[in-house]
Amino acid sequence: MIIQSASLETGLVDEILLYVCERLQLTDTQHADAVRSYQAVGEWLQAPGSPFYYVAPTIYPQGSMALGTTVKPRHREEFDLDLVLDLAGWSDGPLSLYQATLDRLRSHRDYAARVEPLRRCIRLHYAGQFHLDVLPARRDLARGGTCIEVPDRTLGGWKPSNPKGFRGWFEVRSELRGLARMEQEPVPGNGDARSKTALQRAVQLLKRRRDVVFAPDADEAPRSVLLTTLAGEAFKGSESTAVSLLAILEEIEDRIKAAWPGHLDVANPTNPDERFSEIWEREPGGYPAFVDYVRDFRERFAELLHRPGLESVTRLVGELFGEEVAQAAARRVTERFRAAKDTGRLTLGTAGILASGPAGRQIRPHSFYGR
Amino acid sequence: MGGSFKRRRRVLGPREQAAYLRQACPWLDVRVAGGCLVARGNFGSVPWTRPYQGRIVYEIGRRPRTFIDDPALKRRNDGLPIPHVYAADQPCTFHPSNWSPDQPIALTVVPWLMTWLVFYEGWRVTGDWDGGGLHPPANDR
Repeated sequence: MIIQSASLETGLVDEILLYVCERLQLTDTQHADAVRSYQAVGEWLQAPGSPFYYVAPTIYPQGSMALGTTVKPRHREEFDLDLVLDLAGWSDGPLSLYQATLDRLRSHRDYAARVEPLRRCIRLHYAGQFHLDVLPARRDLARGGTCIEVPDRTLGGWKPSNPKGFRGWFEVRSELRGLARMEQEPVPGNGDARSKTALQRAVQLLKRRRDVVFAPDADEAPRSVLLTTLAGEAFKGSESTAVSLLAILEEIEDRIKAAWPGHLDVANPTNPDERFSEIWEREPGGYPAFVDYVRDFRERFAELLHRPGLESVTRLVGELFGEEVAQAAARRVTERFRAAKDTGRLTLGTAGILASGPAGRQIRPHSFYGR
Repeated sequence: MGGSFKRRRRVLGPREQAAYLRQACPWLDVRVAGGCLVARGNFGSVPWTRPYQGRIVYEIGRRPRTFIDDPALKRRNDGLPIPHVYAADQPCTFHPSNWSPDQPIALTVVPWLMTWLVFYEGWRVTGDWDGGGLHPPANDR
């Protein structure tokens, strides 16, 4: 159905952004494949014979798949998906935990060839689909709650984290649901972008814009968790993706100005010791690049709300988020418009607006003609 | 119902068409002079398209003609010609069989032209005409 004329200013922009988000996220098939792999890896890590069998493992997704904010990378096929191996009773050191996880995964006939050790996690490659980052962790008894500590191989120590708390915080910010607790927690349903909240879509678009602006794997590109935290903190609860994203960008800009000449301080809202902005201290080019990205995005996105019509909206959406996704979105708009026309749901109101629903005169069927 | 008889079709002249237009499309400037009706104004529809200034011209005994004056309709950069037009400024918004002079232009040709512009904007960006429609046989062109 054509979006009601109630939100005339943002109706078309929101519809196009919705289609862009749907195009960017995991497809239902990819999501189902990822869930299957996630479950299989989880079972292998906690099966009898695993060194974790007796230390009460809990396995749960973190990151974009847990938050419902997946975005297809621009220059490769694979989505990034993460899962946490959370151990209540690990009494050994961080490097031995990392090594034990690595060994356990390597002992599996199928995983052995997929494994790549990274700084904090162990990556399993599923070529052409996704990679699954396994993050081993121990329960943080001092900080309590859902806080964990993860081995940092470079530092040779533990780093504080709280992905489960973060997910709960994000869901509350999105006005989603409470946090489920299970032994191996199911990955949330894929959900089409329509069932997502404006905050989830805004995060997808922030990440996509980042991927368009920065070279693939550029060190100064702002990390997804930074963008997600800032967006969650700034989100005011509008139903319009366009209005929400603009408000988020304006709020981030205000915070940047208030923090100047220092940088923004961004931490996990559910574990203040997990400082996401710490990367700006290690990577000096990162903060100026982030500031430029926010300012440029805010300026151009604000213009989008003043653009009239499918053609000019699609052109700017193409510049912001990529030509291919913009054209696919425009095609869906005209297809839906066509379906409304063919089923007699287009009407003409006295303000001259074509929309759906009973308010207005039904438009009689006809065929376009001519060459 | 049941096809017991058909209501007699009554031809609407330019003045009656004008009365319909003024009532149903108050934003259009409608004038009748010398048996010729011209309805001028914006045929774009928020939020689907930008504004387009155009005209519908109707003389008794002829089919209504539609024109877009400003901004001019444009080919795509890849040179694809505009689909479903009679001339560069004349969209073909209906098949000859769709309209007869007993039908109010206000409820037919006006929204058809507005709809045409939505698919025109879609075609401008994608290169595909998603509005459907018919093409005249080759020997009619």
